[in-house]
Amino acid sequence: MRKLRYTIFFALLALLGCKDPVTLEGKGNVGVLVIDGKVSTLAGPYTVRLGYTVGIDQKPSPVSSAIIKLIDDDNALTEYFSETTPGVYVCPGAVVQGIPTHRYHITVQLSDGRTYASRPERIPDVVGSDKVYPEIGTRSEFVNETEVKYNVVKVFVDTQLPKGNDKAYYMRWDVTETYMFEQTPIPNPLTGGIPTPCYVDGVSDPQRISLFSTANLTADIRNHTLVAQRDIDQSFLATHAFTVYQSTITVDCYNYWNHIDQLINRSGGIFDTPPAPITGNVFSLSDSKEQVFGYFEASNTTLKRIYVYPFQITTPKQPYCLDPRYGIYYPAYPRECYQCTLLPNSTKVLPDWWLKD
Amino acid sequence: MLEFAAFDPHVLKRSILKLVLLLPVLLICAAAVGQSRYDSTLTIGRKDLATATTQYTLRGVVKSANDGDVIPGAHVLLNRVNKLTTTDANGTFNVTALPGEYDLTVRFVGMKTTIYRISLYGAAFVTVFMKDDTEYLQEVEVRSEAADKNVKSAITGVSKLNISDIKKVPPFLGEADVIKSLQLLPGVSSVGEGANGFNVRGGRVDQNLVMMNGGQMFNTSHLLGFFSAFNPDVTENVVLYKGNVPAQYGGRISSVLDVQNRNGDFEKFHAKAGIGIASGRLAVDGPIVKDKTSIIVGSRFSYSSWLLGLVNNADVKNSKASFYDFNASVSQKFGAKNIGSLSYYKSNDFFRFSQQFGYQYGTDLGVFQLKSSISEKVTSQFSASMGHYVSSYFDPSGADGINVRNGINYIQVKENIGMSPWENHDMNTGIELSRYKSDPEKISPEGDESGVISRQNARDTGRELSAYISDEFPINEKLSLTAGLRYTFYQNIGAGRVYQYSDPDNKTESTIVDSTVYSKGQVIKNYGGLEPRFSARVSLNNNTSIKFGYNRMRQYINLISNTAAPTPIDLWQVSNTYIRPQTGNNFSLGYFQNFSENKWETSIEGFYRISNDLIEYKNFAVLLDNNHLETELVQAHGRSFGAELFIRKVYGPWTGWLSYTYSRSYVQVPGGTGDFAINNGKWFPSNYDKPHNVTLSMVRRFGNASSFSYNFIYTSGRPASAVTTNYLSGTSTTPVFSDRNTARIPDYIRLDISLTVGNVFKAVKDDLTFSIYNLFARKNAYSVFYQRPGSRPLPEAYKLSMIGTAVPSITYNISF
Repeated sequence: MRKLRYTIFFALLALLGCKDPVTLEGKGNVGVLVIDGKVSTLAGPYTVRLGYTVGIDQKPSPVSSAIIKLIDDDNALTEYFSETTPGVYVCPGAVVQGIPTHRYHITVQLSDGRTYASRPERIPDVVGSDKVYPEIGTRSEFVNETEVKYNVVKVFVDTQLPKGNDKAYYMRWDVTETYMFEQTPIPNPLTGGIPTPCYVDGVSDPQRISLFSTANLTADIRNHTLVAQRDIDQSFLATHAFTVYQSTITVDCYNYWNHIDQLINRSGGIFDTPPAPITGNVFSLSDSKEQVFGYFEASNTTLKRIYVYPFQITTPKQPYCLDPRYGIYYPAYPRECYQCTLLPNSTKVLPDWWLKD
Repeated sequence: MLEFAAFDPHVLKRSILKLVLLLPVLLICAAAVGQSRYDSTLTIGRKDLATATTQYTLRGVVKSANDGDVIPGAHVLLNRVNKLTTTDANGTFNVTALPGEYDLTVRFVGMKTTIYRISLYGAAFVTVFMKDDTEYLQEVEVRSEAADKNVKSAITGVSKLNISDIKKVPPFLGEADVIKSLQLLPGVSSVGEGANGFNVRGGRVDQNLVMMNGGQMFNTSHLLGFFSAFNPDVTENVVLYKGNVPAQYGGRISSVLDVQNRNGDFEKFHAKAGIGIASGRLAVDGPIVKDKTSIIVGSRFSYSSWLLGLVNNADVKNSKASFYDFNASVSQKFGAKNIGSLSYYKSNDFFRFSQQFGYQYGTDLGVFQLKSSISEKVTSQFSASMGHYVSSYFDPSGADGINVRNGINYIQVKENIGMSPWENHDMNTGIELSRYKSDPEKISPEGDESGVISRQNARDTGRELSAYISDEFPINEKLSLTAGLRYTFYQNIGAGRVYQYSDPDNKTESTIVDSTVYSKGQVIKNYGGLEPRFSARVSLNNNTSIKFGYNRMRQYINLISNTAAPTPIDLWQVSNTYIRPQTGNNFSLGYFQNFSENKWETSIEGFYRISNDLIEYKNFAVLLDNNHLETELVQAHGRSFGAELFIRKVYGPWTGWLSYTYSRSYVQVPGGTGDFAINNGKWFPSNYDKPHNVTLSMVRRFGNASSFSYNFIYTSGRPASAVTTNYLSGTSTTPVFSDRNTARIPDYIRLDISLTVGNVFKAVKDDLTFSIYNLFARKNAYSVFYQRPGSRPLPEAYKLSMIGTAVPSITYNISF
């Protein structure tokens, strides 16, 4: 149903239309507070981000020195968040942890005294089981009206909900990745040892919003849902892990993410619902008319991991940290080939789950 | 054979632009050489014996000069006193006037306009002979109204087109189009190519009452909006009331479009056929019983799928887009004073993209009309109509493969009595009963893999009773009034369920606390009220007048469409407990002046409309598969205002018009929080706010049946929303859009040309039309949509050009 207008619009576009970039200048919604975070049935820490919207293509300006509380309404438990980096607040989850059927919300007090809260969310009681598997394929992109194909790894899930449930359930998948990055094998002149690899974290296909609702469907199973698509690059020269988080969420949370999906991936056509600012579940306690963006989510979450090995990639990229022309003459290589911790979100510490799933 | 040499497109564009700018100048020059002519001069009575205060009656009969047959339905105008009448079934007429010199002008379709110079100093009976318009039958401006009607009529904001006007407009894909022709008139616009319907003075599509032979139409478009639902071969004339709407009409707050199809000929058979690159048509009419019973049958059908096959894309090749429509009407004369007709219209549209999704919609409309002349001063017009509009969307892909079906049934009975109880009074009174019943929204699985649960959502039923009376009369020679009053009473009736909400100001699914079930026919909610209609004309001199109009209208049925352009699958929803009827108060003021014996018509009209309870939508409203639509709607205030400048050349080798419209349309949604708070309760431009609109539409005739025509159109871009900032939701970058409609898409400019060559084959009456739509191949922005380029996180704005190229077409028309 949700793709109805989207499909009609793009059919028209394909049949008759042509498109060109255009610059539009709208007004409003700059300088608005954003509160974004979640609690789940996974162990902490849990994170909340605070910031003010700035402008297009600019990250929100962080809001520091706020007091944020996570509250379990059913157990009357409270735990505070602490600011780790500007605008990022972390709660260890030592006191409050997500429990199915419990209700949670947060309160936020800014340094100027203004207070905010999220509407309580009750963690759903059911979580489905996922079978996760990769497929090697291609994706197309039009560059200067010419179709260019890229080799990709696609991550799919087959989902089975527990049988006997007649309620509607709402799910979302998020996918993160960790890949091993092997440096140019230049022996350490002191120890003679080969440098150890880095493990680089990232988010796979963050703008893909993978949602599923069983509302008005007879099926309690959904097969072959594409949850992430990743271009094949040097990150697949060694083992590449995908972590798939399946979250059962509330209907309000589902609608929130559905609206994000509409804005990111299907928006603005003549037959589309007009785009608009998204209303979440956070609000001001100080001024009921103040607009606030964001959502504090409470979800029942599980995770599954899969590994993609180099032998599975039929069209590998040229190993750029090992070039026969340069051998082990390291200055010829990019710096990350001999100092891999320069890569964003990389570490030399082997994740404790690596190859154990 | 035409041959195109290599050319510089910029030079061509400059040349065409020069032509466009030069043509009005040529037009003015051509107009300067016109001169008047009388077919006969008559002196009746003796001037020295006439009494200055005595009204003399001029009786007469209008006959064909060729065969002597009387001509019923001819329009007879006595100028200066603006006495307009129509010949009866016996071809007779009578008018009264004080002694003086007059022009008696007689017009009838297919006959040359005949003007008698009358010196009226006594009562008399005259015979007016009209000649067949053999010389210019195809190309003259056949006007079914007085030449100075625009100045002398008491009501404002009326536009009339007859089918010959419409056929002169450069066609898209070779098809003369009623709606596209209307969009060339001041105050009438559209969201763009591919949009259903039209917008009048900043109003919405559903605020136009569209009628075919008096029956309501719920969708006026075919084939993705590129063709209108009206077959030009059976259409006789089109009247658009956009300012002051007579009391006979009601039910919409913006305008009334009254499309009348012609009756079949009672004397002999005729046939018309046309074939173009995307569609064909055929119409036949003639007598079943000569001079007693006639029939007309017309049909159009598309074969546009072959065009899709030319596209170098497998999905498009496998797509299908087609439509057909069918008109049939039987007319029967009952004696000399009664004529009845039974007409039927059916249409069907089908669109499927590749082997994937698509939609289908269709209309059935039956109308019975009986027109009677009860006495010399009283006429009756009875009509009963029944219609059904149904639409469905299907998508057979995957587990959520779905079929959604909606529809609306409509029945209306109407009786209008026209009378002239006193001299110079033209009164109408009548009663109208309508019933709207929406089909339940049916949702079913589509495709073998679908896991969708079959279900249906009940929809509302409403009935509307209206009574009205109006009178058009002169106060004196300078001042003429039209005054009317309409009363409407509406009931939302069962069967139905009305939900109760814990917070009436925040109606959401989660705030439903209870519901009340109503049985079939049980009254759920009543609405009603008076609708005054008033218009006045003050004549400053014989060629100049000032008019003022005011009317109030109520609307009990709405098109629920939360998109810039209505789609065929939008819902029709009647007023109910929570959806109050829309009301509109329309004010208009105009200055009208004709020049050179009505060869030139000019006017400037201002308008202001205040609307209440307009249907607006909360952010991200979900309208399909929803049995409590009130949770998605908000009701808004509206105001529209503007001015229309119109210059038209009526006669001569060059005809056409230049219009400029300044039009604004704003909406305000008071109160509300969250998704119900639209632009913080401030006024904002509606989707149809297009401030500037310039149209130049011209036709040049060449000899017998050949012509060249062109349209030049400029409009401001319509409002849209734009991305202004962003934030992170989890790991996804979330765009934040501006307040609603604070940005604007680029302006729209288009030039169309058309060349019609008549008498291609001498044995038959035919013509060949070459046309180019969007000659500049300009990529006009029809809409703006957002798409993420490559792997960029935020969507970027792209303008969508539905027709980004010049579209040539060729059509062959033949008639017997």
